[in-house]
Amino acid sequence: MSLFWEDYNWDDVQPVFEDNSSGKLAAIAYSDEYKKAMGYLRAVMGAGEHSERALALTKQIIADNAAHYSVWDYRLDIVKNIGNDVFDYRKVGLVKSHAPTIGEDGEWLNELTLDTPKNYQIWNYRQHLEIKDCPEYYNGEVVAVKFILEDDPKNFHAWSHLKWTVSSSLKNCSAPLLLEPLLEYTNQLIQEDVFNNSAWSFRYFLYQTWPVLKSAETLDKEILFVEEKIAMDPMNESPWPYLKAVCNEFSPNALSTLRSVAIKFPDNARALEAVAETSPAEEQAAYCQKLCELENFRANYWRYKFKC
Amino acid sequence: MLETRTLREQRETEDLCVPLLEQEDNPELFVFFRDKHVKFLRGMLGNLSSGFISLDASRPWMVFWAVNGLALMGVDTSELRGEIEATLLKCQHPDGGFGGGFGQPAHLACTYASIMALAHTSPAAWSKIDRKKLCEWLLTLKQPDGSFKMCLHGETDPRATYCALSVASILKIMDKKLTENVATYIKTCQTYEGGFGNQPLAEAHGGYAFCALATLHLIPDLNIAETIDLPGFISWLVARQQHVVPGFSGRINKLVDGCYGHWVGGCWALVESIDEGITELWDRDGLQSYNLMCCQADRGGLRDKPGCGPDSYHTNYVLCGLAACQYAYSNPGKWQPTAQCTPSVLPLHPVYGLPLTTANRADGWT
Ligand SMILES: [Zn+2]
Repeated sequence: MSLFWEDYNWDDVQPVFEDNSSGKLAAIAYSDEYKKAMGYLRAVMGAGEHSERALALTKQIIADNAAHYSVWDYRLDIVKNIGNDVFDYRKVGLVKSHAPTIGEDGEWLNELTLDTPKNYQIWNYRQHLEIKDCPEYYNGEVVAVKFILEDDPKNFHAWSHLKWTVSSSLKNCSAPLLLEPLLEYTNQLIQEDVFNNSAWSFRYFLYQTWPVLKSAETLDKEILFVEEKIAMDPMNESPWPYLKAVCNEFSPNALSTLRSVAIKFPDNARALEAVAETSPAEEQAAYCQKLCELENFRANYWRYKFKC
Repeated sequence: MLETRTLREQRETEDLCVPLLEQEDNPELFVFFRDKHVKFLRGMLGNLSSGFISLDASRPWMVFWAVNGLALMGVDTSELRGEIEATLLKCQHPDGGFGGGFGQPAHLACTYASIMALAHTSPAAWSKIDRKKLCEWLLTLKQPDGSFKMCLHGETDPRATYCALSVASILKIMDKKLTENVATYIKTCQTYEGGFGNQPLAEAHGGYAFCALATLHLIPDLNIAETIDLPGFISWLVARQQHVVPGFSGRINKLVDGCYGHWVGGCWALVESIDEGITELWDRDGLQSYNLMCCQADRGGLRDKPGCGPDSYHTNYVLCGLAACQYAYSNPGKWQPTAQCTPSVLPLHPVYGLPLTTANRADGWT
């Protein structure tokens, strides 16, 4: 790291150090290098300097601490101002021939994304580097997300970023992402782990974005899909709210569609709950009784919900 | 036989937790080890090793979690006041709000943590918060759809609205411009599962659920039951607690984690206050068992689950979770607590996340 300081001239900068004579609660024993880097960062950040050396400095600090929102925010300002002069525009990233970013070192950013998947500054940062009307950008983001989800299939930030990528491509790109491959991706993940609720949530997002379930034929196919997944384990919590939402949103006979699936799984609390919900009030007491037997630890809730 | 990653991880967690939960009848083990946790949090306020460098932009949080946790355990923190004040005022930005450390730009999460930590100090320290600048800065983060950005280039989500409105409320700088459209925005974050996510059409998540609901409580004169799908929300909340390991999970088909005792468990007080008919729809004793039998680390401090190390974050929020199961509240707004058992901790202000006495004291400061 010490070599770094020789790459640029810092003589004109007066570093700003924290006064540690008081206010020492939870003080971290920083390395001398980190302390020095933060001292210079405060100085150039405070002065609003947009330079190559400042850009290099942010990279040094991020290497030690990728969760530093301040540094990411500052880096973004610099990149937006001078990034294109420093980096090759549309530089090819680590993620196979994709993920170009305006003014940023795509290779470095991708590597960092893969190294620190739980970090959420990075996803937000990537969104700020959007290249509108560049299909490679959106495809590249999908590839990056898939990389992360391979190791961590419920990573909240990665899923959130994927939803953002889809919406933005539809809004800002004349060759946007397509429904079919994304739907196929949820098929694959749900097939691998039918309890992956993030994949279910993404599937619902897709159908909200592309309302293809308005067609009766597609809707029937989807209901069948859910039914098959419920059959794998009827106690799985994920498909039930999904099914209810799909019925409510797209089925002209929401209650009877839901009920027709639920009655196929007798003596199961999740199914019975759906049956009870779709029954006339006077029949609910009997179902409530049964639910209290099946899930006694939720008896208060069942009695509250079905008013019995 | 169906076998997936979720089932395997769930089974592994049950295998770790069930033997501990079964020892609940042993009065030597079903104990809150207060002194150990006090020692742990005191240590977290001292000098931290270079391994904590990733928390360099979270200094106010480190102070808040530890001080708040100590206070919840009834520790007199008054001798810490001077240092709390000095540490946090270094994080106050000249243009309003607080950053993650000295010389860092302001951020809403750090601002929440700083101000809630300063609520543990004195009216003199409180008066050093630049409210005018803070209010101006909050307005720069406000978006037309009612949401707030976390910081200049930051993301928008219900955490940001919660942080913005809770500090505005406790500092009495709340105004119409801050609350405008917020309820409409929060409503758009409710998902088909019934909980709340970080954005419209997201997956429901305990952290955002708490922030969403607490935000609604901070908007004056709002009819919450008419704003959101309350039955849907309750259904999601109920399902976050399972029978075998009765802590809370943060999402559907995710593992139990001690901190959700607050983020999800803490929603119950907020929901119960909306409608008198909603009472005891969850297993208080179960959450207490999970927190006491599975979340106490041997060397002190509280944790996510057995096998995880303790940290300040989990210590504070497991303690908040204990308050959630050990007290019921009446009179929303004033939050009158009634202990449901012999409590381990002091009652919590269900919206601010401060000990109730601390919140009420700060409420009296001008
Ligand atoms: Zn946790």
